[in-house]
Amino acid sequence: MIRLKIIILSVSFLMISCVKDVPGISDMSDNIFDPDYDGDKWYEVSDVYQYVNSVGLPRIRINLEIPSEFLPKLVPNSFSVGIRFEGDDWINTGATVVSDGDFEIALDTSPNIDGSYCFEVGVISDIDEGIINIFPDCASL
Amino acid sequence: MKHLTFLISFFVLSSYSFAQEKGQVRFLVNVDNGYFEVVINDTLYLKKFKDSLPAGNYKAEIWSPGYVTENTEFTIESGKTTDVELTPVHNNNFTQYEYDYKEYRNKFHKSLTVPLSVTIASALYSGTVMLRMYNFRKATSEELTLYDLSSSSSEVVQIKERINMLNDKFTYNRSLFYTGSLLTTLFAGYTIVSYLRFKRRYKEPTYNQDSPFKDRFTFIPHLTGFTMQLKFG
Repeated sequence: MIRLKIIILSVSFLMISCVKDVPGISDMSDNIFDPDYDGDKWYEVSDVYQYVNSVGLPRIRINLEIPSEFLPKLVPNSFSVGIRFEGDDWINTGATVVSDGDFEIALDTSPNIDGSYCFEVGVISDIDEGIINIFPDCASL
Repeated sequence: MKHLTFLISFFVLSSYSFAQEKGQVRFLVNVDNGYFEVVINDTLYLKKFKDSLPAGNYKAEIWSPGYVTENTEFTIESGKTTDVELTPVHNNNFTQYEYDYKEYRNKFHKSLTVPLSVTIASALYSGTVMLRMYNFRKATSEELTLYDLSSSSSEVVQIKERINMLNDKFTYNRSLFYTGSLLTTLFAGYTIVSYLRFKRRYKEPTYNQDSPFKDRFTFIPHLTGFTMQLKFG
C-alpha cells in the first residue's frame, strides 16, 4: 500500500511538473537585441564632462554605461549602437566592454549655452540596420 | 450397494497377454476434446484408442467429457483389426454449460475486457501526449536559453518564432493531456465499478467432467504389478 502511494505521488509530481507553464516565456522580451524588448532603459549616464580636443576646441563627453544584467550572456566585445542628439541625425558608434563585463559608450558633442544635452540611444539591429529599443535621456554638466 | 471385487494381479501391464487367438480393436471416436474412455464388457477399462482382444463379441460403453455415453457392440476376429466408429452427441448439461459459459464470458468482456482496454488505450494515449508535451517543454526551455544568449536581432527573432511555435504545441498537448487524464480516470473508475458489479452478479459456470466410470474401477499399483477392483451395483 505504501509502495502504491509512493508511485501515485511520484506520477502526480511528474505530471504536475510537466504541465506547468514553461518558465521564462513571460520574460521573453528582456533581450536588448530583441525588437520587441519591453524592459527598462538599458543604459545609464555614468559621466559628463568638458574637455579640449586635439585641435583646441572645447567638447562635451558623455559616458554611458550598459550594465551587464541588461546584456545577453553571449555578447561580443563590442556592438553597434545608434545615437542622436536633439536636432541632429542618427550616428553609429560602438559599445565596448569594460573590465567588469559592463559596456561603455562615449558620446561627443559641442557645448551649448544651457549645459543640458538630450539624446536618444538605440541598438542597431542586424535585420535591416534599423535602430531598435531607443531610449531618450538628458545629461547636464 | 452390492460390491463385487475382482483381485487380479498382473506381472505385465496387459491383461490379455495370454496366448489366445486375438485381434485388434480401434475406437475412432469423433469428439472435439480428443479424449474418451471405453469400458468393454463392464470389465475392461480403456483410456486408449486401440487394444488387442481375444476374438469374440463385445459390448462397449464409450464416454467423453461433455458427451452422452454411447453403447455399442463389435466383433473381434482373429488377426484382424476392427474399427469402431462413433460420433457421440453432446449431453444437455454440457450444451447448457457451453451456452452459460459463453454468456458469462460475454458479460465478462463487457464488464471488464472492453472498459479495461479502453482505459489502457486512454492511459497509453495520455502517456504518449505527456511525453510529447515534455519534449516540447524541454525544447522550449532550450530555445529560451538561446534567447538569453543571443546578441543578434535576426537570431532573436528566429528563436522567438521557434519558441512561440513550440510553446503553442506544448499548450495544445497539455490540453490533450488534461483531457486524456480525465478520460482515463473516468474509464478506470467505470472499469472498477463495472468489474465489481460483474463479480457480485455473476458466477462462472462449471461443468462436472468426472468420468461415469471412475467409481467402477480402482487401480492399486504394487511392486509386482497392480490390482484392479471392479464395483458393480
